[in-house]
Amino acid sequence: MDSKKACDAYLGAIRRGSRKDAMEVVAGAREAGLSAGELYVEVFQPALREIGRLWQENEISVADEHLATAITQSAMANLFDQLATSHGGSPPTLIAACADVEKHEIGLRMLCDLLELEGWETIYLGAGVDLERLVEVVRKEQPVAIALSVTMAHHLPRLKVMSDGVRALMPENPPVIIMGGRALLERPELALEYGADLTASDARDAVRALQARVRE
Amino acid sequence: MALPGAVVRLTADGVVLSSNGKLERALRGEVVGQKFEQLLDPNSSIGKWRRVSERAGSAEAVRCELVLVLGAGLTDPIGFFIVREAEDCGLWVIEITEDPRLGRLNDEVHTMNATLNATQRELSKEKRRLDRVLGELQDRQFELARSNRDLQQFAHVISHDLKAPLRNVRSYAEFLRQDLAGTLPKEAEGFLQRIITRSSDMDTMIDGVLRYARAGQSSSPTEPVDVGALVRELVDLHDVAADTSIHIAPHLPVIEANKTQLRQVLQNLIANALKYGRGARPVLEISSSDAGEFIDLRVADNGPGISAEDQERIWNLFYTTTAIEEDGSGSGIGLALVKRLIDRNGGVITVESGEGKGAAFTVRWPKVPVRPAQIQDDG
Repeated sequence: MDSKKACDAYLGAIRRGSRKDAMEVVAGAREAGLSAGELYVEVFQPALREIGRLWQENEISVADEHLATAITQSAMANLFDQLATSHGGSPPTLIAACADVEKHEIGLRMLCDLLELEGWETIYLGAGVDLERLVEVVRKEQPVAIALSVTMAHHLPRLKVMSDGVRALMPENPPVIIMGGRALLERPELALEYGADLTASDARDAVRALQARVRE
Repeated sequence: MALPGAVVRLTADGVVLSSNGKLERALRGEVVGQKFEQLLDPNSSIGKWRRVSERAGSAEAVRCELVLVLGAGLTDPIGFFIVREAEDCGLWVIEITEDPRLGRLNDEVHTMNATLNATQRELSKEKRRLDRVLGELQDRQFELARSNRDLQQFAHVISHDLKAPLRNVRSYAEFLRQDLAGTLPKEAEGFLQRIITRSSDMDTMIDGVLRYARAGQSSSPTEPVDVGALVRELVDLHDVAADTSIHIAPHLPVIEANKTQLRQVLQNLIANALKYGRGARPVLEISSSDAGEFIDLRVADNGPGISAEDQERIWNLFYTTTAIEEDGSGSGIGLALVKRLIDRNGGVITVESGEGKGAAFTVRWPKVPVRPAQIQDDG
């Protein structure tokens, strides 16, 4: 099974709302040798984007979309359970937050999982995080990197507020700020305007960019 | 129209012709006279609305979920029925109202699911961390066992390989002394005597190293040991001076222990106490007290005591304040051996003393025997 076939089968399962079928597809894809990164970026992500597109086409409802997302979150947590390793030592830390107020967090979750599998320590704050809370966690954890994601275009300005706030807190040795998410997908250059050091089109891309930057 | 949700009527061009007032309330603004699509989120809903409204006929209402602009933000998706009045006529847009508890239920499920997934991740991480620590512990235990074996092997080899040449040194020195008796200058005779004495000391020390290395290695099973009987037996082994006052507490306990090892410990402590008990009336006191999971066994004398500085060093191998005697005592093995045996049994030994104040050694011995793997060993 290649990732395209797996994606089609997975999409079918989550459209039907069948958790069992979805888990079987994932298990089959794992047996066929797909890595966690491939499953996340080439199976789950396009399947969920297709679900979003189907909503826009009025083919499915928000309830279907929520169900598909919930199944995918469970599939990711199961995969993480199978693949997690413990690296020991003092790993680089990343703090992840959504600039959105609503719950659009699955892409960021993917980034955290993939980084953890590479030996990072991640602190996932999710959606609806205000600057005060972000700054508090950054002050406590002194991360080497911060990932900010944004799904809804009208939340883009929050990226600037958050990145400025973090840099003001750690002017000497500021963490690397990486931004991504659907709102930046078509115009990734916007990320730099909103204060990013790095941007990425998907979670795997983000892992590569962060690994390269940390090794510098 | 007295419906619970918003109802708006649009012209064929999509301009809001009339409204039941609910949409105005929800969006906090006027809607009549505006194009309906101007009320919608451009990213998610305008395209969708255009496609759906074009297809909408008069025969059957179409369901459609749309996101509306609310001030600087957006609403959650709201479901509508869209139905055309007649061919080429305007549209009715009717909100599908749901029990608001369904929304809250959805939020609850979402939160629970997120919490569950996060917890599962934390558990996975913790499980892996424990696996790693366990692996490290096993490696360490393996290393310890090996270094223990190596140490024993080393001690054995050293003892045997050192003893043979040492015996030769001593024998040749004795031959010299016998053969040259009366012909040597006094000073040279003294030197020969010192060679003999020192090689004999060294022989004792080598035996000590061997005993030390083997201490606590015995795998003999534990058994109930009557500490009182053991103490009396050990005291009787000594040729105790008539004026020595010996107090053995009446109710010493019976404990589950490796008898050979406990005997070695008490034998050394009692021998030391009798040796250092001083003056006209040497005193030896042996007592016990309960210390929770342990029993404290106390062996005290009224000897010269041990200075604070020496109290740090007495446990070191070969540390001694006196010369080695015929029976091997004073070689600096005894207390090192005692400490090692007690460590290996999961116990602790402490000393209270001061110069001129006698010495009291307290052995804290576990009531329940500890398996060797549970004991941290410094190799």
